[in-house]
Amino acid sequence: MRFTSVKTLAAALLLTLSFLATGRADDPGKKIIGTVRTELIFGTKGAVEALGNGSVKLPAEEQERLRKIEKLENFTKFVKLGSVEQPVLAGYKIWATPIKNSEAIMVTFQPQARIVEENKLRLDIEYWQKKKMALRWDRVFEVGKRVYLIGPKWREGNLIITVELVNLRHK
Amino acid sequence: MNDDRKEELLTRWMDDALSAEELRELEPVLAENPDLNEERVDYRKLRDELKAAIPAEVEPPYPDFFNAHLERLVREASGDEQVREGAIRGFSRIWLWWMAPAATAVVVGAFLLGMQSAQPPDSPGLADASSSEIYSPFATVETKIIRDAELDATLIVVEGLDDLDDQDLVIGGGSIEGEHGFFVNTGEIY
Repeated sequence: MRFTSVKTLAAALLLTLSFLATGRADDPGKKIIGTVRTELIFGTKGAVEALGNGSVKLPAEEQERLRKIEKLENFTKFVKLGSVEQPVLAGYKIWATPIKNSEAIMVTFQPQARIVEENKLRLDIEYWQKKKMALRWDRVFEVGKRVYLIGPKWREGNLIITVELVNLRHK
Repeated sequence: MNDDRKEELLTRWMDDALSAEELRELEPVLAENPDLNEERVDYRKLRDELKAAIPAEVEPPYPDFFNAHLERLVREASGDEQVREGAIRGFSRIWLWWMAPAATAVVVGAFLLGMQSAQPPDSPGLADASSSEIYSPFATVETKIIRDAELDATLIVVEGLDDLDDQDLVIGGGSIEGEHGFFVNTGEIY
């Protein structure tokens, strides 16, 4: 009698777990619709050696282009401090932390609409600085085209956050 | 009766909000201007039509965005205000009160159009959704959007953000690449 009860209980547990698993697998919000990359760049006229090996020099061509931006024209060096690449999920808000384990700078993405034939995705984006939402905007992103957010000052330079839609899944 | 008092009573009369005493006070004015009764009928008709056409309450999906859009519209409208001032002066001020529901309808209409542009994927209207509206809760923050042809990118230049301190960004462990960050279920699938 007791054995039968245990068996019934185990069967019920199994059924519940499989139901939960099915529910998760069917979560349409988890559908991956693309990939987005967030990078943190630092522009400075000071020494970048002090950053240790926590930085990677940007290609000379990109540095040259960045120097042409009015707010960045005094900076002689541009280095990448961190980068994160994440899938864009249909029903989820993505929190990107370009510097791992640092919540000083965070960017969120939430997909709003897709224009597949033009390789474009409209995202609502928020820029969070020190746990406060500082900016919110929506934008149509085209695959491969970057948005540079010329952000706050840090040390003897300026931080730049870049966002790029790396790819977009057609279905 | 001075003009301000007359205007106040007329406005409330339009909405049937006068007490018996106030109505008696207004009667001479109505007797002098029989057209006002006709105008009141028109006003009520317009009000009822607007009430029927516009939902009583719509929760904006992105209230901050909505407010930012609204502020921009108000700013743009106020730019033209001085030009129109001379023309407005000729109108009865009461008409301004009458126009309030119509202005509300325009704003709500703009909002509903905005909601339509956030409709599900692959809808034809999306091709026009390329403009950006940047909102910041901080009054000190200013933004400028620049299309940089050479970079083939969009620049958003932000002024007024707090500087970050040295210790805010702990780096030195090598440039971090790959997948980190996290995801939050929004309960909405676009």
